[in-house]
Amino acid sequence: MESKNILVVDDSRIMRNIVKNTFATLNIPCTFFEAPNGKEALSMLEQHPIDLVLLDWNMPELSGIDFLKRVRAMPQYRDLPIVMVTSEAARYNVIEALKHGATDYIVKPVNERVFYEKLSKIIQLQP
Amino acid sequence: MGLASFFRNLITSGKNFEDNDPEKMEMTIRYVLLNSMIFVGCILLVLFGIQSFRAQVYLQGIIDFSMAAITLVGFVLLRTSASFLWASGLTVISFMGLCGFLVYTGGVQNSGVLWAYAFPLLSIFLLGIRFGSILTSIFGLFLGAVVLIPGFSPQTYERAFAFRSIGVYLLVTLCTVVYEVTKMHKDKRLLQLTASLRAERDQIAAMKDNLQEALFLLDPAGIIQDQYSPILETMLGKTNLTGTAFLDLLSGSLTSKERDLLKDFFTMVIEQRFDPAMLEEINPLKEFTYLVPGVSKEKTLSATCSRLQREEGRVFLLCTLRDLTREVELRKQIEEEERKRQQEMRALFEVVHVEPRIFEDFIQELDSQFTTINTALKDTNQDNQNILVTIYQSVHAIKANAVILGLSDFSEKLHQLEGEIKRIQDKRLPDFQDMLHLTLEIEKIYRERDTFQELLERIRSFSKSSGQLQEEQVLIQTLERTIERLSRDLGKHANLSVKKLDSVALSQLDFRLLKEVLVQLVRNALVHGIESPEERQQKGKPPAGTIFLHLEQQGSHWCCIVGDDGKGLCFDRIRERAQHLGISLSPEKERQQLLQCIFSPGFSTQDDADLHGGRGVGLSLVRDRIQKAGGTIKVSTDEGRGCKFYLYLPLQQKDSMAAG
Amino acid sequence: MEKYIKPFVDASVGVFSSMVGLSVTVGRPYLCEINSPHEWDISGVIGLTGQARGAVVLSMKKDLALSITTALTEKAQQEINEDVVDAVGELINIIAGNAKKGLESDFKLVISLPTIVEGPKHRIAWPLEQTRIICIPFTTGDGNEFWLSVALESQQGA
Repeated sequence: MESKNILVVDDSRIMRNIVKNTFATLNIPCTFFEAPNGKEALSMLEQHPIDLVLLDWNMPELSGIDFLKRVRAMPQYRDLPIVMVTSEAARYNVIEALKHGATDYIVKPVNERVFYEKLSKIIQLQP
Repeated sequence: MGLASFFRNLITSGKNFEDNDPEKMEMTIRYVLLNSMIFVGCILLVLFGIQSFRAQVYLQGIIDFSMAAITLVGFVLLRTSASFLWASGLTVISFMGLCGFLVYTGGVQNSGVLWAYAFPLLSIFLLGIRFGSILTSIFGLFLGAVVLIPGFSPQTYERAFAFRSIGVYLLVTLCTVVYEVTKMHKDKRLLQLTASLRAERDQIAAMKDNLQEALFLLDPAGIIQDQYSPILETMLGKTNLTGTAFLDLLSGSLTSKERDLLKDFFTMVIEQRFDPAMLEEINPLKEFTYLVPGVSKEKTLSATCSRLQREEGRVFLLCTLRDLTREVELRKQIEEEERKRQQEMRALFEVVHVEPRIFEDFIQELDSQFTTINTALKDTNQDNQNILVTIYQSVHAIKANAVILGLSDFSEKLHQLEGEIKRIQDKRLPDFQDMLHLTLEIEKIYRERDTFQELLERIRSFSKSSGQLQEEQVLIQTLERTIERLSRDLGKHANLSVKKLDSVALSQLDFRLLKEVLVQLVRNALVHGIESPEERQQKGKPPAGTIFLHLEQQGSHWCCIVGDDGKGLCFDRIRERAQHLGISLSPEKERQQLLQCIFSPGFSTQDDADLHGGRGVGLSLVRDRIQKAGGTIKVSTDEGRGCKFYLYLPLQQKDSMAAG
Repeated sequence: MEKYIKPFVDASVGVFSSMVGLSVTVGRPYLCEINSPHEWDISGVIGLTGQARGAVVLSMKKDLALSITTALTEKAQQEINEDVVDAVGELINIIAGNAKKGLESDFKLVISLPTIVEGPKHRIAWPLEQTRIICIPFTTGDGNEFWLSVALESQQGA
């Protein structure tokens, strides 16, 4: 499998590192891109071809859910895998994210097994 | 099938058209028309045919019979589901042929031309304006050709005859066309009107059906009419209300006198004798309780009615019905809460009218007890059972004060909290949830304290008290109040007698501590020591008991004596209780031990606990407090005569608020 | 009110165990006056709005904050720096977000971005007019303590 580009979006640097480290346990060759909020994530998306976005919800400037809405409105990103990685555990949050086009939903604290189960499937669907 | 329906079936070709659809009705008319024509035509043609044969004009006869046959075909066609146009077309065209033939050949005494006049009518009525006019025009031209062009047909016609026949033909055609066109317009207009009426009716039905208020009509006899809001059934708990007398429905909820009153009211509304505003004021149904039949449910409903006049001078009552149950419930809740507030306020005012200083004291005490409680909660070195005891004692102390001040609601809440604490204590290992619950309950009580504080601030501005009260007076007043309240509640009678109250002692000692302890001892004396007036009189004692107080220095201690002239401690009961609790007693030191027993937490010779005593905490609290202050407590008793408590406190007492 | 506290307690236990790798025990709750003195060095505050209003605060002393950050960054931390602020913020964020699930059937809540306050005797601005809040102490496996303070008031009608 060729190297995948993963965009990690979270306002906490510590969290971005944790997400990167947990993703690394999947043993999928990849390059990481990071953004601390939705606005910078959008510009990252424009500059690089991304295969998977791991997206937090509560962030300054542009929140995860608003980033999701904007990205899904752009036809070229309709099928971009975007997985929420957030502390928001309530069902109404999960439903809202999925309704607006999130590919899947992971609740923090992150867990290797969950990452493996959900993400390996998604990333392998990519050509 | 009766004769009438057989005939009906025949004439409509068995086709069933709904009466309400104007288009379909149009079709029915056409079927009926065509069928009638076919019958009449067929019969006539057969007759003509017979006649022709008799007259030996065979060609004519054959044509007549074949025409009759064609009409029968048409009849059959009509009964099938083939389009009307086939049967009518067939009939009209064959008729056209027949007429044409007759016109051409002249017929009997030139009666052929007469047939022509039937043609426009039939063709336009049966085929509609378009096809009908086309065929009519064609035939008209043919007719014109026959009568005007010499040699065209075997007959010759005079000019005058020709013009007249054409003229009449035109006249018939015109009339038919005009009639048909105006009829079409009328029908179109009718359709529009019907549609808009239907739309309006549906709108109104939608509004009526969705209102939360039920609308219904009553005729002058009080019978419910058939168009009513469906919600009426829900409200009254009964279906199929049409034809029911409204007053009958209320028979379970109103007395017969009330219903007669209602009947009169309805009559007044109908007869328009009074101004509607006034009628609304005297409306007996403005708010009434309705018993739902079948279930034991009560609702509060409100009904209004007004006069409605419809066509033909018929008068009705337009009534509305509303369900007020929820509103009434809420209103009652608010009233109840308001009442409770007022009660509490009155109690407070009562107290504070006398001494705002005492009330302020109460709040300060409350605060100090809370600090004790919270410190205990925070103390990680203590386990749950220990701090539960501390908390209990504090709550108990607050309750005692609340009772004195007459805050019945608040003391009741505290009493319940005590019960909660006891419940948790009884669990061997109270868990996090229990402690959380307790903390939250304490917070609620604390919030009451904030309310009290607010009230105190407000009341301060109305305070009538002059100047500061001396601590001595506060103490004496508190004790007197305690005695007064308690004796009233217990049905006993007692007086406070202050033998000596050393003011130096008072200023040196922890005032709060002293007050708390003395109040507890005085209560104890009254609850357990002083007998009822009757008992006392039987024993030859004055009906009112005496509780005396003595505070002075004795050597290196302050000595405070609280005594009473009641029945003293009953050793038998104490022994019994001690044995019940499994406390072992040695015979030599029994009297001593028994006297010590009464200070143990949980020890009480009273059988059940109430606001005043029986939890077995009072004396243990007292001993605890005294011991914490570095003092000792002793008791001496004279069975039947009285009891005395001796409190010894060290001389060098700082006025410190011991944090628990 | 007590059933509103339990989800926060459970979330705290969960977060510490799965993210920081510390098992914690919950202690006896008590009442805290809103501006009373405390011994905490750093607090993470998250506001709660929606069908209920309030806030939840995670407070601890410097040592615990440092050791938590060390565990999360795998880098030894000596002083309260932006990583420590980040870590405390993320912890309280996860506690609040997870607690939302336990409160689902009672109200729909929106959580704010975390605010970190630090320094001796720092003041926490509570959004409600209460004078007291429930304070729940926790003890970690290695003998440290932290506190979770919660104030929550339903905004729904009767």
